[in-house]
Amino acid sequence: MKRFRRDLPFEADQIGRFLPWIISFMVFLGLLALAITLSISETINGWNKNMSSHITIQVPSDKASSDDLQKVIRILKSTKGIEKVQLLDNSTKLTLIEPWLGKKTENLSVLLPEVIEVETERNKFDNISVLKIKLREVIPEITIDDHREWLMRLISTSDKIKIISIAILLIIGVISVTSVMFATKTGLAVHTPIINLLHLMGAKDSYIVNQFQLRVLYLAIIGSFLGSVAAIIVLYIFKTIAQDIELSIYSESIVPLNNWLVLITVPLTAIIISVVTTRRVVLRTLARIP
Amino acid sequence: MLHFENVGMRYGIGPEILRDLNFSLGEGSFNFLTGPSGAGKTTLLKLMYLALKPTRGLVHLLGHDIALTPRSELPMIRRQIGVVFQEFRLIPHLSAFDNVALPLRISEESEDIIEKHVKELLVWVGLGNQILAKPSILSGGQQQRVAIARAIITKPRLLLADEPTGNVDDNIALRLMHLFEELNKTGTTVIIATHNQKLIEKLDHPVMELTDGELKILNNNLNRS
Repeated sequence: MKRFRRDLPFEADQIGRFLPWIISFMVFLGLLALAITLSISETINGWNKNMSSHITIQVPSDKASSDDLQKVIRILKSTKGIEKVQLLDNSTKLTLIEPWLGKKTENLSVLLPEVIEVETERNKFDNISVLKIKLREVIPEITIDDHREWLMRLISTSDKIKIISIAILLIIGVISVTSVMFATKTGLAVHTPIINLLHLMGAKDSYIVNQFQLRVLYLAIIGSFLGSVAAIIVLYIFKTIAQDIELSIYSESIVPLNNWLVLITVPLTAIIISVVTTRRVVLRTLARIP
Repeated sequence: MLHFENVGMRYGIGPEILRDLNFSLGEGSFNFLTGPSGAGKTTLLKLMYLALKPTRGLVHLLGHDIALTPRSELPMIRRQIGVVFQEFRLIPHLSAFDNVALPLRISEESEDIIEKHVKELLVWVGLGNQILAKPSILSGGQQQRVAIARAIITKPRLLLADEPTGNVDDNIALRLMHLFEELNKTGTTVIIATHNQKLIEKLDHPVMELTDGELKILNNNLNRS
C-alpha cells in the first residue's frame, strides 16, 4: 500500500494553528445564517400553505340584518374561485376567543360579530378588490381579512432575509477563500527551499500539490467539525429557548431531515473550497518555477 | 549527453555572468569544473540541472533541446540528474534514510525497492549505523555522504557536484572522488565543480575552467564546438 508522503515539515509553519479556527468560525457563522433563514422560510411556507387560501369576513352583529348576511353569503358562493363559505355558529366563535377570555364565556355580554370563513381555490382567486366593493355595497361596515395580504408582506420580508443570508454566506465564502489563500501562500513561502529541492529532484507539481492538499483537507475537516459542533449546540439552545417562549418563527422546522441535508453542505463546501483554493494557489505558484 | 551552444546567462538586468559558452560532453565522461570564486561555476551547474534557463543560446541535455521541451516533461529529465549541492540541502526533519529515499519516492518506486537500495547505499557510504539519524545530529562529513547517497541513489545519467570536497580533509576528498569514479565506470557522466587543485592534479580527468564568465578547456577529451 502506498504510504501518505509528507516531505514538507508542516509542523514548522503556523498554518496548522490558525486555519482550523478560521474555518470553524466560518462554518459556525455559515450554519447559523443558513439555519435561521431555513427556519424562517419553512415557517412562512407553512403559513402560506395553510392561510393563503383563507379569507375571514366579519360583520358587526348590530350593523346587518339576517337578510343582508344571507345576501353576502350568496355573493360569496357565486364568486368564481371560492370553494367554501361557512358562517360560524356561536359555539365555534366562543372557542376561537377562548384563548383570551377563558372557558366561562356563556354569559358574555359582549356582542360577537358574525364571522364567515371563506376558502378559496389556491392560485385561482385573485379578485378580492372587486369582491370587497360588492360586499361593502350590501354592508358598508363589513371587514374582510385577506390573509394573503399580510402573508405576502411576510414572504417579501422572508425573501429579503434570504438575500441577506445569501450575501452573508458569500462574504463568508470570500473570507474563507482569502484566508486559505493567505495560509497556503505563507506555507509556500516557509517551505520554498524544500519545494525547490523536490522540484530539482524531478518532483512533478502534483507531488507537491498533493502534500499541501492533504494537509489542508485534514485541517479543514477539523475546522468544519468544530464549527459544526458549535453551531449545533447554539441551534439546539435557540430551539429550546424558542420552544420555551413558544416562538413560532423559530419552530421545529430546523429539525426535519431535508434541512439537515442542506445544512451539511456548509461544512462540506468549506472543505471543498479549502482544498480547491489550496490546489489552485500551489499550482499557480509552482508554474512560476522553470 | 550535454551540449551548450552560445549560451549566455545574466540575472535580471545585471551583467552577463556566463558568456558564449560552447562545449559538448560525451556520455560517460568525467570532468572537473574549476575557476575562482564568483566565476560562475554554480550558475553553470544550475543551467545543467535545470534550475535556471539561459538568457540566450541553446542547451541540449540528455537528448532534449531544453528551450523546446514542455515544462511537463522537465521532471522526467531532472530525475536522470543527480546533484550534490555545496550546502548539502538535506531536509532537516527527515532521517538519513528518508533523505536518501526521496528521489526514489518522487520516481514512485515501491517501498520494498526503496528500503533495499537505500539501506545498501547508506552502508556503502559508511552510514549503516546512522540510518535513522536526522541531519542535525550528523557531522559535516556524514551529512555530505548522505547528500552524495541521495544524488546517486537513482543511478543518474548525469551527476553534478558543487564543491563536494569543501568540508572534508584531503584523504576523505580522495575517497569521495574514487566513489564518483566508481559511479562513472557504470556509465554516469560526472561533473565536479571544485577549487581543490591538488585533487584535480591527482586525478587525470578533463578540466573546464571558468574565468570571468568564459570557459576554457585545459586538458581534455571534450569536444569544443
